[in-house]
Amino acid sequence: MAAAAASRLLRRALTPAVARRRFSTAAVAAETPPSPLPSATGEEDAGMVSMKGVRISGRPLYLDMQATTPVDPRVLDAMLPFYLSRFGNPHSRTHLYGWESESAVEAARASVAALVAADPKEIFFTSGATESNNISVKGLMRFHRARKRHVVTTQTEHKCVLDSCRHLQQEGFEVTYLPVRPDGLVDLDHLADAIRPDTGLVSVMAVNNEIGVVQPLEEIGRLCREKGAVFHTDAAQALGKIPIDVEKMGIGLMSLSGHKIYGPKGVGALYVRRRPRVRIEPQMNGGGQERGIRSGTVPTPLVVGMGAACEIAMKEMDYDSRRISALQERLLNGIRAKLDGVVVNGSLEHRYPGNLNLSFAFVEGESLLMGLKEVAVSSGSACTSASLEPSYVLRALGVDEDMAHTSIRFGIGRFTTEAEIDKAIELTVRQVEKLREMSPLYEMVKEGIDIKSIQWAQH
Amino acid sequence: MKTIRYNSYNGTRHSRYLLPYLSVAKPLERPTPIAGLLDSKAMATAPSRAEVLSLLRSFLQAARKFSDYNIREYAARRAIDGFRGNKALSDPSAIAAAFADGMSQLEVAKRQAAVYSSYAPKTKSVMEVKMSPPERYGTSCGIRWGSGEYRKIYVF
Repeated sequence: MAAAAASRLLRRALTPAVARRRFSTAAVAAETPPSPLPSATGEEDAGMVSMKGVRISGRPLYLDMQATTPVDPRVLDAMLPFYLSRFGNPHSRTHLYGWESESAVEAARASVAALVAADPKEIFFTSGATESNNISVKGLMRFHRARKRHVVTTQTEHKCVLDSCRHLQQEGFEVTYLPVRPDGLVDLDHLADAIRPDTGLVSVMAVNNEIGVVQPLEEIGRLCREKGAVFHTDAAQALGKIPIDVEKMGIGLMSLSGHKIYGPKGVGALYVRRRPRVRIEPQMNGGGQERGIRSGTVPTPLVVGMGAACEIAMKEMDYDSRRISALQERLLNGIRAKLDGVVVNGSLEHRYPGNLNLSFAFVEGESLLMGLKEVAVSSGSACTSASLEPSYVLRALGVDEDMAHTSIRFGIGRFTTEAEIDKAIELTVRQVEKLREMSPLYEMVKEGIDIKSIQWAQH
Repeated sequence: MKTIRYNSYNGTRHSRYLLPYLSVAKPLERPTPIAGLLDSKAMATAPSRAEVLSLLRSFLQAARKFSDYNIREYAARRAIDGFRGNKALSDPSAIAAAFADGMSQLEVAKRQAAVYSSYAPKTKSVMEVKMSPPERYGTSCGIRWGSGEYRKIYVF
């Protein structure tokens, strides 16, 4: 026994370590140190993050709440049981798993309905606000294709609404894209003129994702009710942030999104009015789930997350809006105190405070963004930032090309702290000053030359 | 009959019947086993000042355990603001309900602190990094020869 143990020990000591390890899967696994997360973010050594050629000392501070929001821990707590033990399909009618899933989905539906003062039977869960927008625009118009041939929308709508309208135009419908005023609000007289007897849908988003402007929903709703058109609003950015009441605002169709109110990504909802009944043609055909409006298994954990997020939003709306207004003032005053030539895009009065879109004169946009790598902000909206064109929303506001290129959108949310705002101010001011120092245009302006009057020579 | 706990506050001018109660923000109405148990007990007697303060202390301890900078700051700030906001509550059943809600919220916070720590990323937020190197060298895209760089040169 002892001799066997001794010979084993001797063999271990004499065999080269590499040869020993090569024949053991456990050893192979042990060689690569187990990391808690798959290393999607390049190398993370000594606390530096390196990705796409940029090195920063830590994770950037997040000021892009209009693109998406972090999931609230209370929402995650509500969702986890439905990933772990209560994983049933809500449409299974024969066993406990199905019953408990279904009751969770119905409870979530009631929470979402309560936030917008609707009836739970009027809420349908979809995969997001984009799908809800598609169902509203295409579904409504296709149902009424015999009598209603016209759609009215604005030039600052979200890309999914504009693209759906373009699709309808190819099918033979007519679409009017209303221009907006320079402050981003839609002109109610132009809207009243644009609505015709054969207008089926008027689509105006509640809070714009790029400039944060809040449209006058009550007036638009009243106008649509008088003229007999259905009022659709994309309330993805508005839900839980400004009070929404579908009765007071005369809303017929509304698109809601989960991941803009600190809920999970991949879920949204569609509100469809029942009195008077708004009829739509389903765009997803299948087993007739969600009253036939949207077939497909309802994703219980995501829906429960959205319900929890709506509950929290209802309780925290006052607290959050007061705090976010104060933070927005701090940000704007802090930047304006140290820099001139700062323009706010969109109306300051009719604005959701958590969205601040600023343009810095005489600064190039791409270089400004490249220097602001420790702050996660966006220029233009997430869907259009892949192309180099300036944002169509800013172009619709009448902003000059050069100012549109230098626009930065700061998104403030529930979890933003004062320290983050101060740091963002410091980094932005430093970067803008650095770029302006290098800018010959800025020097000329300082000397008093009017930029617009310069005759640029051709080479 | 509920036994009276003797602590430094009993029998002094800080009697539980004279103090304005500090209580908790109104959180989710989701039934958890703990809140269910507490409801029946708490409805009978409102919590004492010591209990409420100890709940706030537990909240702040749980908040400290979050690995994420933003959530940590939010949890601490929201707890303090919530308690301060409910300071003026005078109806004992309302206070008891708020206290029960606070207990269930505390359970949520403890669970989530564990979940967040299990999945914490290796790098911290820039807000937690003191004197970040890019600021020291004046550029965020500068080359920095840490020990990792030298190791990479010699590996074939």
